[in-house]
Amino acid sequence: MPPDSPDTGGESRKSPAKQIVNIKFGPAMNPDAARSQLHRLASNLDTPFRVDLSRCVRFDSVALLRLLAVIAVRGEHGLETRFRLPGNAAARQFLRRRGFDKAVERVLDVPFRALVDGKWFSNQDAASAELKAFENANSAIQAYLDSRNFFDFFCYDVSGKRDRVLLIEQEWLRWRNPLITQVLRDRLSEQHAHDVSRVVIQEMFTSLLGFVSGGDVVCVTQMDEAGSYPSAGFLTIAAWHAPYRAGGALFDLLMATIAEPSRAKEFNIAFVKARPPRSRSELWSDFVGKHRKGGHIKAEDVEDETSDVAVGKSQTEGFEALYRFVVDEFSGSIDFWSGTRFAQVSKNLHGESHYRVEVSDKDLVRDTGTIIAVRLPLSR
Amino acid sequence: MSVRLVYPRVVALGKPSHEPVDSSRDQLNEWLIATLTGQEATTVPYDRTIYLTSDELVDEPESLEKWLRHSRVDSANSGSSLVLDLADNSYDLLREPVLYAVSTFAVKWISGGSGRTAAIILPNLPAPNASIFWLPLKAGDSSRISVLALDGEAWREGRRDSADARIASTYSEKRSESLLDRDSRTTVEGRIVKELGHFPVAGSSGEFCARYFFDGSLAINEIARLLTNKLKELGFDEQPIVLLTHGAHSDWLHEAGLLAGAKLASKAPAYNVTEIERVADLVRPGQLAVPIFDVVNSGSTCSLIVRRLQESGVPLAATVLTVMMDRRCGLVELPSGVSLEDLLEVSSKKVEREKCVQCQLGLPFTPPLTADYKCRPYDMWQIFLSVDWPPEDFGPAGVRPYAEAPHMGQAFTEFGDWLAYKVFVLLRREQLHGEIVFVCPAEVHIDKLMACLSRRLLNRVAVVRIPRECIQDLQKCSTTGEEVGWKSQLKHVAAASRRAIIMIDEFNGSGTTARAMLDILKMYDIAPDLYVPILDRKPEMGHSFSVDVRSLYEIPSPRIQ
Repeated sequence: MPPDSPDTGGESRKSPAKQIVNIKFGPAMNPDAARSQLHRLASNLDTPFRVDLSRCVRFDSVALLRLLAVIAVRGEHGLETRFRLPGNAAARQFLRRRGFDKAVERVLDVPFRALVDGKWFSNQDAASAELKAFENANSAIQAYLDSRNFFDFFCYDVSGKRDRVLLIEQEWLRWRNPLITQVLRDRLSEQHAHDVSRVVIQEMFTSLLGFVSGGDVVCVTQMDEAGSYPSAGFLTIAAWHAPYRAGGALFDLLMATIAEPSRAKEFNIAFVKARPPRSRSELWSDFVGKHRKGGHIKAEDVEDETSDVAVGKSQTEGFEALYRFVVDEFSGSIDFWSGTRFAQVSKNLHGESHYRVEVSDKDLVRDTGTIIAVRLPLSR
Repeated sequence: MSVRLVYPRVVALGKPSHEPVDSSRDQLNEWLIATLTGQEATTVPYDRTIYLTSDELVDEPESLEKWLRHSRVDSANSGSSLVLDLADNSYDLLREPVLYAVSTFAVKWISGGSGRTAAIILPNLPAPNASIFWLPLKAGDSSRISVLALDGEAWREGRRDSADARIASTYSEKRSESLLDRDSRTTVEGRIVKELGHFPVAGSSGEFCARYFFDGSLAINEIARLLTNKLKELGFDEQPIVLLTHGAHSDWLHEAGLLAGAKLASKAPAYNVTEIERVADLVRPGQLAVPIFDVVNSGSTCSLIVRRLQESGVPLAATVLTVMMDRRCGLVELPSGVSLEDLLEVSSKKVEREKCVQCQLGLPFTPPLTADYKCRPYDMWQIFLSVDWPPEDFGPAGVRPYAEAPHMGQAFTEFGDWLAYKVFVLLRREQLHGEIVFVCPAEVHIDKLMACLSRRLLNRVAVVRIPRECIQDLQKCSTTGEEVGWKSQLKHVAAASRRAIIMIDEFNGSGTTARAMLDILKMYDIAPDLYVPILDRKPEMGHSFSVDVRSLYEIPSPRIQ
């Protein structure tokens, strides 16, 4: 077992020049709460860090996915990132049972145990949750799905020519399981539960993988009860695709989709601490031009950002179906981190437009691939 | 009144090739169009499905429009009707861009003639406010387009249409009568796979061996439905209960129990108590526990478990359920006050251990759902000895037919699902994933196995049936000339990028049929991945084929040339 050490560990002991910097995460680790730590991890690519999860009590899987993306980039730069596990038994069990350790091993190709300073998992952390009396049929089903690894981190290699299609089929198959469909019927939509596998899963992965082959995909599902922590009460389905330097593609898909004249009027676009990009899409250029005249977008603000992938008709149709189902049918939202931007598509609560797209660079972390996260609110 | 021409197009998604469309659908389509338009209708036949491969489904769903145009529907006159039938596909497979392509095509098509009408048949109606399927219909003139779903819903002119909904319900009934009843395995009994083997069964009255293991994993929804109905019939719909499922190797039972509980008004939780000791802790005050078993033979295990539950203070309902019951075993007495009800009757052929022939022969026990694709001689011979042995009725020319051969049609009727499971295990072992193309002689026996395989592989297969006269005369197989269905299928298969091609036959006798099929495939530039004779009667010649051979069973018994 690696030695327990407060702020230094592993190689740093032998070499004072490689002093490890401890980055502590708070009790509830979600993308907002973890933003500054992740930014620090990603933007100091010459500093050895230890991800200190010792105070963590609850995890949002999207934050863990972002952490994976960041440590993977650090790995690409030959930098080790060490870990300290949560002191809280339930939090430790969450990481172990959902296979976060395996996902780290997969992206770094290093045994997770070799990266952990301080206490290692206990035997209880790996054990299945103790069988207890369930509130109702749904909690029994969710526990069963959990025991069958439904909510684990899944890693896919998509470097082969058809791995992309296989991944989409695999995930589609996983989500057409009658048990998860039953839970969704009760807690999401009696009539349209099937649309999660039919639309959300297929279009989410098609959008994520539509442009770039290669790399790995890690995906995860979380379903926590409302009130258990601030961002709970949602079904969260998230995936990270890691061709690191092609991360702007999903953002371009969003731009191309909403710039389509038939759709443009439905959107209220807010650039928060971000400059609107000049996209390769002609439609988007027109769109920017019109808005510039109207004073919404200033010419000097338009950032020149191009990539070499064309957006196809069926991709924009698929993406349109995704946001229509997520926002209109299930009252949820889509978040994504793509290239240097964070964007969120949700219902526009003020004004005439139907949807709101908020774009920001507040989470600016270059070259960490693309993460898409769909959050669907659950009823009790 | 003039006769309306009907152009039916059946769309199949996630398939490696098109497949023939049964002409029995024509009558149904004619009825539908006549009912919708009030005009007599007659079909302009189209004998094959319009398909999208899995790759196209992901990368080019919009190409469906191109394929529909390619199917010669544009030449239809003004008084014609188009039937776009997507209802054979699982609803989950209907990607939104595919639905968008369908409605876009229908709108464009009816605009080609003022008297043209179209009917789109779907498994379900997509969400009215979210699905992009509706956008072209709402944007253009769609007054002559009816959208009907098999669940009895219908849409016309921007809203649900009650008149069309009545037509949709009747259509749905007629369709299941004409299309589904031909496959007896749409029933729950038909979806439970009877696995042959040598299975130990423990009971309070001694040790037993069972001949069959019943796998319900293909029938979870159906079993859950039966359980829910039974529980409601017993008055448990709103009563606070918990379901206790018990069945080693039967994950399907617990899954069906979980689903059944969720469908009750009380939302009863289910627990798998097969290996749980402190069950009483799981039952809350005021709740009753309903034990559910997978298969009850003599009832000794059932009785033992019920007694244990009673002794440990679990408040039991007066009725215990079992999904399957073998009444031939003679039921032992259950503890007083408890009765047993079953959903399905089966025969597991359970015998006392000392009377078990397999034990006497020293045959080891077989694990349920084994990952070994080879069939045991004991099992195969049971199948062979349970069917007739008529003179061989199909076979290659130039070789003398077997004077007696097991009737494989009967074998596939009774054990097709188990043999299909074995082929499925083989394909997994050989890492043949994705879309599967089976190439076989066009014969009725092997067709029965194909139906089982198709079901096992979620209907994502295509079967190319080569007529016997073509296998016997390769000159009839030329890649040029008349474009008959199977030839066109092979051309598509040759062009497809992702598929595994399996040559399959009920048995290999002299290798003549296999060689001919290989030659035919070669004409179309197709190299199969595997040749699977269910029974190989000439195994020594396997190495002489230009393809790997994997049979489920071998009996060296060459034909006389």
